[in-house]
Amino acid sequence: MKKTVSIIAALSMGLAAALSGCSTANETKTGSSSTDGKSGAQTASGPKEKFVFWDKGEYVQDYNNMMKERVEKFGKDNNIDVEYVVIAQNDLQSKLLAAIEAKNPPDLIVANDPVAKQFVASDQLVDVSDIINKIDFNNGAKSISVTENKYLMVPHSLQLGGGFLRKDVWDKHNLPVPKTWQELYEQAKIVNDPKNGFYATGLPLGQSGGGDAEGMIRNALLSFGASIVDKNNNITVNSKETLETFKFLAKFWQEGLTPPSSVTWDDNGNNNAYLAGTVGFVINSASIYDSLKKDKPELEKATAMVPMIGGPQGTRLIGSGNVFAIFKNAKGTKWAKKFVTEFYDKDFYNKLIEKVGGKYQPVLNGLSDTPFWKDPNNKPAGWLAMTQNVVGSTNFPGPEDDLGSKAYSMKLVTKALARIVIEKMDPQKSIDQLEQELKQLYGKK
Amino acid sequence: MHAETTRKYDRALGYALILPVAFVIFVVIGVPFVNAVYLSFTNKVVGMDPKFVGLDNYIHIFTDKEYWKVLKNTFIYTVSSVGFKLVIGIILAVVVNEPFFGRGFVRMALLIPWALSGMVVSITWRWMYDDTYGIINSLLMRWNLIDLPIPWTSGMSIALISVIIVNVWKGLPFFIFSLLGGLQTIDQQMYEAATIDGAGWLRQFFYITVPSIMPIISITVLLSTIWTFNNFESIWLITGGGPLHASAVVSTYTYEIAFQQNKMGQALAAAGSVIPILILMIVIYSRKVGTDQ
Repeated sequence: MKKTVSIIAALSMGLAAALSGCSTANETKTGSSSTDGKSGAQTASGPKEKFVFWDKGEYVQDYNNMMKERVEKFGKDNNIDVEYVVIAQNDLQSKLLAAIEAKNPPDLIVANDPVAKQFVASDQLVDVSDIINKIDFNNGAKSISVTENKYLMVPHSLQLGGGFLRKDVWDKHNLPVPKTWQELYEQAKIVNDPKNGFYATGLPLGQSGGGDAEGMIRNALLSFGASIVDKNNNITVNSKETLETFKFLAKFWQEGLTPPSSVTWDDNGNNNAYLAGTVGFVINSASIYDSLKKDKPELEKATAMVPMIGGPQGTRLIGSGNVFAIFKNAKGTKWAKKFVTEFYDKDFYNKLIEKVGGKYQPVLNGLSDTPFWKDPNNKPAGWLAMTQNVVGSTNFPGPEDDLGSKAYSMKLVTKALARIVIEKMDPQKSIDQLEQELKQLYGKK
Repeated sequence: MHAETTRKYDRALGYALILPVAFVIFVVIGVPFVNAVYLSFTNKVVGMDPKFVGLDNYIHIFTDKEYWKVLKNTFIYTVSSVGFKLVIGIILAVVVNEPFFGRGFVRMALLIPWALSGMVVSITWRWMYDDTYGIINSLLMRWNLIDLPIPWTSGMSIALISVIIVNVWKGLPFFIFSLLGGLQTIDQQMYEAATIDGAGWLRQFFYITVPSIMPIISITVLLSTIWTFNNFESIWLITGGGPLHASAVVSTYTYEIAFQQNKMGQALAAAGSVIPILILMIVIYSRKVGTDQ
């Protein structure tokens, strides 16, 4: 009896150890069988060829389900094995770095454009100009996919964030929807009620995960007429406009108009705070809308989705979104190209965009004229017009290159504002430090 | 002569038997370790071949004031966490060593933090710490102990304390049950003799209990120090090392350089800079184990 128990215990422990070594990624391996008995995609030695696709985990589960089906169908149609792996957005970059270092990158990824752009300098990505020329992409989409005047990425979807506003709270105080940062600030002072657990805004300032804070601050800088670099990558951040922007934004924390914990939020921070009903205004993509509809219908009714707020220079948006990137050193590059080329089937693509409920804006021309985007009850539809305000991508107005992506992913701008808010550093001093950091990164004197 | 031959044969057999294991350890640990040390002297970034840069990475790290900040944090985090785990661990071990009704249940309950996944623990604490919907602030405000929420994860002076609390909470069972095992081996006659001689419970504790379990205390403290020194998961998930590195330790700082800035050479230099400290601890641990045996 004891022996049996010992054996079972040992087997259990062995199994547990084996499982603990498994990837946390949700991996789907599909060995599609040939339906016609042909083996067109089989190698000479017999085993089928394989297509490995790493996709970012999306808040809207339907997205990953649809993509998985699409990949499996692609495998079946081409008689190849496919591996569709879903990876949490915050883990994608580190997993990719590890895979590239191990000389075993996936054939294809979908990632936020700044993540993919970091692999340009190390010459990891396949030139996809042929796909770009074949398909009718809109200008906003092209702007997030170009680096150093080359197309090494294919736009997958635009992901522009706007404002989520607690219309019920604003109405209670007879306040209009804020259109500018100044209006938001004035109104925030009226609706703020931290003693009762309600903050007027939920602005992120975390420096560890995701790009919500960096994107928000950079958009604000552009709207106030400031910029990080000029079109030749000269550092132009040290300006009176930057100083004005930083001083202005810092007031949200200094005056307690946003939760103190927001200085360590990752990209889930503002989602969670809004869904918990503890903040009145956040800037986010439409992922919150999906959660509201599913889990918080009452809060959804009380929510207005408003276009991105602007500054003295109007609303100027840095384009951001998701891109396909194909890795040169992978084994299934040709399948990756084929998959991406076939991905933009209008019926499928429209369905995908609609399933995501407006979290994505389409990258193809002529797809905004659909019942989905015209539906007056579709709150994210109001955000479609924002695609017209996209002025460029991460490094705007500088050239799109890996330096811009690196500066973005290092969150140097966020850290500069955080120094003012948390360390109470003199704003000008913090900007001076930011300028030095950028000069060092961009190799400028 | 025959005895000498036998001794040589036994020694050769011993070496032959440990050779496969030694080889595996060398291949699995030794080679990557040596490679990592080499790469710390290069400008390695992912996807590109490394170029030797001498001590540049180390100079860069040692002249970065953030490095010294996180190194200081690492020591504060490690010493405080291990210290609290030891003190509270001894107290609780002594308590659950005494017979009382429901002792089995209490012992089982004390094991829970140790059994839970680090990720679950970290995310749960992060939620509890939140200043807008976290239960900790909510209760403190409800009991009128505070007017405004405490910024547990975002205050420059409190973020590190918050992650220390989590580490203590999660690591306490290891101390309790290691020390409990030691307590159960103490001969009860010593306490009876001490009682007859007029020693109170405090003197009994310091003159019988502590010396008796000192070997276990040493090993437990050393092991916990090594684990705590290298802890990454809970800090990264609760505060991300923020705000502005206020709660960052060497492991999170290294991760940031490696995976957010893609500077592998520099990251390995940062990681390598604490190897002497860890080796020292491992040597002390090995000697301690050897001595005890």
